Amino acid sequence: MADKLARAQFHELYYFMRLNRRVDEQLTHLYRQGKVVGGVYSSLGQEATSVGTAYALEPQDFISPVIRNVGTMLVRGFRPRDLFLQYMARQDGPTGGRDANTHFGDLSKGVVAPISMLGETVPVSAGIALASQMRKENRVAVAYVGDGACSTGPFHEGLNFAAVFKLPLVIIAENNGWAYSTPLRKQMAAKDIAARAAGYGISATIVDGNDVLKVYEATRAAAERARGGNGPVLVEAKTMRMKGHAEHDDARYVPKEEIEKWRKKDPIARFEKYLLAKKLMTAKEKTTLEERMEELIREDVEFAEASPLPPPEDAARAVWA
Amino acid sequence: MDNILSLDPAVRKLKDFGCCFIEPNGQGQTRASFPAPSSLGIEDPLDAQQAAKAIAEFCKTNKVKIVFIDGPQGWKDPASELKFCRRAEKILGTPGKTGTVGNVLPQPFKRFTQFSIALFKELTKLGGSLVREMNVQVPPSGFLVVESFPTSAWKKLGMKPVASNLIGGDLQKRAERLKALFDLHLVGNPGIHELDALVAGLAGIAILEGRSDGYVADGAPPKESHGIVLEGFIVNPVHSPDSGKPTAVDFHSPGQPSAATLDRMLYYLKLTRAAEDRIERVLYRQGKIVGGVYTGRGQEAVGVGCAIQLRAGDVMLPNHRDFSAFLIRGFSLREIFMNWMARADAPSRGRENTLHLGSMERGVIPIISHLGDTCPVACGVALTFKQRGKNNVVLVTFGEGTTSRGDVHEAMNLASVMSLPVIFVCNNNAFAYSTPTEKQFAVNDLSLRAAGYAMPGTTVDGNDVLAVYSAVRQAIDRARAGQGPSFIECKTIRMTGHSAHDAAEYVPPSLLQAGAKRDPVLLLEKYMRSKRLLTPKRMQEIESAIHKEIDDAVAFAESKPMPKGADALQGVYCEGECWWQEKRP
Repeated sequence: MADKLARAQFHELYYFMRLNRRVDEQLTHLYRQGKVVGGVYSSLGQEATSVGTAYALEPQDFISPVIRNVGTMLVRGFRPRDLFLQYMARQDGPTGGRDANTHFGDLSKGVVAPISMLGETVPVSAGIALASQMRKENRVAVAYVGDGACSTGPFHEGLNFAAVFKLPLVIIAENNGWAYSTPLRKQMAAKDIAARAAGYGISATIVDGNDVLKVYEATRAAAERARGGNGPVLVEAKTMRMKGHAEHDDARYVPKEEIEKWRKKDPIARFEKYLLAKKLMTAKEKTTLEERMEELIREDVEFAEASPLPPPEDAARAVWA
Repeated sequence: MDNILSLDPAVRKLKDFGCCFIEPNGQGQTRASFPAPSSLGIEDPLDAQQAAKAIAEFCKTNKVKIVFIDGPQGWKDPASELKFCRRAEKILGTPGKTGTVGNVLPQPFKRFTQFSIALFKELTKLGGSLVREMNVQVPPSGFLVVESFPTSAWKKLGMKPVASNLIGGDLQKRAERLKALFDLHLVGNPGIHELDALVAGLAGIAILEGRSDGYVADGAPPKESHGIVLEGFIVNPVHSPDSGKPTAVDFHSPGQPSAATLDRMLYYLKLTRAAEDRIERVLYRQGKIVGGVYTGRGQEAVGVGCAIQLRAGDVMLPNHRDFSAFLIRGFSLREIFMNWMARADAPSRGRENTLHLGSMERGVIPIISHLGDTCPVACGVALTFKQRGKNNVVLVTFGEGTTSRGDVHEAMNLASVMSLPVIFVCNNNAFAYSTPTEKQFAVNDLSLRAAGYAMPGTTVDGNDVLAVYSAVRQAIDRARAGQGPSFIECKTIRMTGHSAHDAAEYVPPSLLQAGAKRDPVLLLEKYMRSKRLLTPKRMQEIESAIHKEIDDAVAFAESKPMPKGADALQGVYCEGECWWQEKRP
């Protein structure tokens, strides 16, 4: 399936993963400069899951990402400046400085704002899928959950509901090994989240979450299956959270060997190697792409820093309808 | 092997003082003899201190580890006058030595009561220890002093209590029944008082053998006030598969019940059916029930097959259609009927109706109306067992509609991660109110969910009590062995509306016809007949016992008043010691 991708599409996948990481790095700089309001939640190591899944969707599809899915938001058309503005709580940000980090969405881009109550993305997406089914909109809803969120009741209720009504829902279970400081073995007794699918009568697939092409293929197949009226599909992407839960967390509870093991599987380095080896990207093309990215970052950081903080008298605006 | 001494004291004439010395041989056979009190060294006139010394001496020389005494350890707090009635007597529904329940008249028994209280006290000074837990354990040193109650002991064994006018032939018949049930060798011809002592003491055989299925302890742990023991357990024998002779049942698979258990299961299936019929089809229509009526018609085998296997100390969280489980765990029909009728003397004292009743000492957590919430509660109980190193298990039942709730998922996940001793039993009765299973979940068998939690899961015919029994047996064994939780789906059919007001016209008639053909009560009857384990005579005995029990419970409940309006706030806020604290173990 990935072999049908055009050369430009390979470049896009690569670009979005690089941009995802670059935005993360920039946010860390801004955080250390004291310019960020609140915490910074990194996607480091999980870029392939976000980018590969979002890239596999159709324009009319909806996503319900969570905090580490910055990559999905970039693919769906948000600019880095949206994230910088939002993280710095500026007036021109998507929520006008009212909410921090990735807590923003845009229905015209098919992005539901991340929901802090983890697991709730599933019933919300089931609702979107139900609407799509009732209105015959041919739209797939994609819910992102982490391994920790899979232990919540809403995950179960939403998935069961979607299975009963054969809704066009895709669950991206991003298994990054850790729910804050809780390791997977203390989160669930089964080896795979995908083992749950049979209990709902839905299909599931397990994919290497650090291989962007595998992620893309699995999501594409899942979305097509769901779109075809065959009910929800669960895609378990095995990956690793390479930083702490947030910037303040040094994650000393994560064994060093685990980090080392996964560092060798870095999704960007792997994909870059693949593109160069397969001659799908030249060194020159790579440089051009990097320059474009740096230009965009510079422009958007400047823009965000120039935006003022919201005036206090505006605080009540948009609180009530 | 250690021995048992059982006493049925009488204070007026020493010849009415029944003694029974019970010697189990450790291989299922037991010798019982009836020494005169004087041969034990008990002197006339009776003196508690002297009698206690003689008894303690007898215990020492005859390797007696358990002394049963028919007599209250205490009955009323001097300060509360006649209001106090012990938990044990309430549970057993017997007048005890203290007068009828709720109407304590100790005067005619005053001398007797004083003597027995003093006897208990003296014996505890001489190495005797009281029963402190429902799971009765023999102390490493000294002996156990257990309160017995022959009247209820006879009842527990399915016989009428002996009346003082019983003579010769009748007494002999009783003795023969006991001999057959417990494989006894009787030395001499016991009289009324000796037989009473014997029947009460039979509970000791199972205690000595460390089996919890041959006796039942009712009541609350001893509670002392002003130097008087106000509460305490009454221990009675029950006839269990392993007590007495080995039975001639074919064990076609490991986990199958013995003949005696089959008999008990049939009894409870029939009692549940008849009692629920009375509630739903008579009392409800007479307007005597407060609120709605939710019955388990058609799915009684689930409650029976589960509850019958739990031990003292285990905890069950039954569903609102598990009437049988409440009976098996020790609630009396009287209590249950009072609760349905919201009477002042009911367990929830008219404050809550239906089966919203529980009891910590009987190991029953009340139904939680928010279906599914019992599952995380079950995990909490199981975690406590695990942390305290107890060998007990928790069994929770819920409907198939409940499985769609997040709480069930969270609980099953937690139980498997922490390897908790929980048995999750789903009674899939085809409808959640009016929602059929195909609108509830997209799988044929809910047991498929178990794999997602890495726990064993199985689907069985919930109308076949033997199938339920066998699956639950294996799950309990696993849980007790520390191997974690299991999930069992029992497929059955709700043969009634959601509630008595619901005609359930949405249920296809063909489904009800299928359910009627596989009626759990008839299935077990048929099985037992085919194995020659059910005679027409026994059937008749069961029928008449059931109707008597129900008539008695209805009459009893109807005779009780509704709660007083002025009492409405009682139990809402703590007033000094909370009213429910006394029930806590």
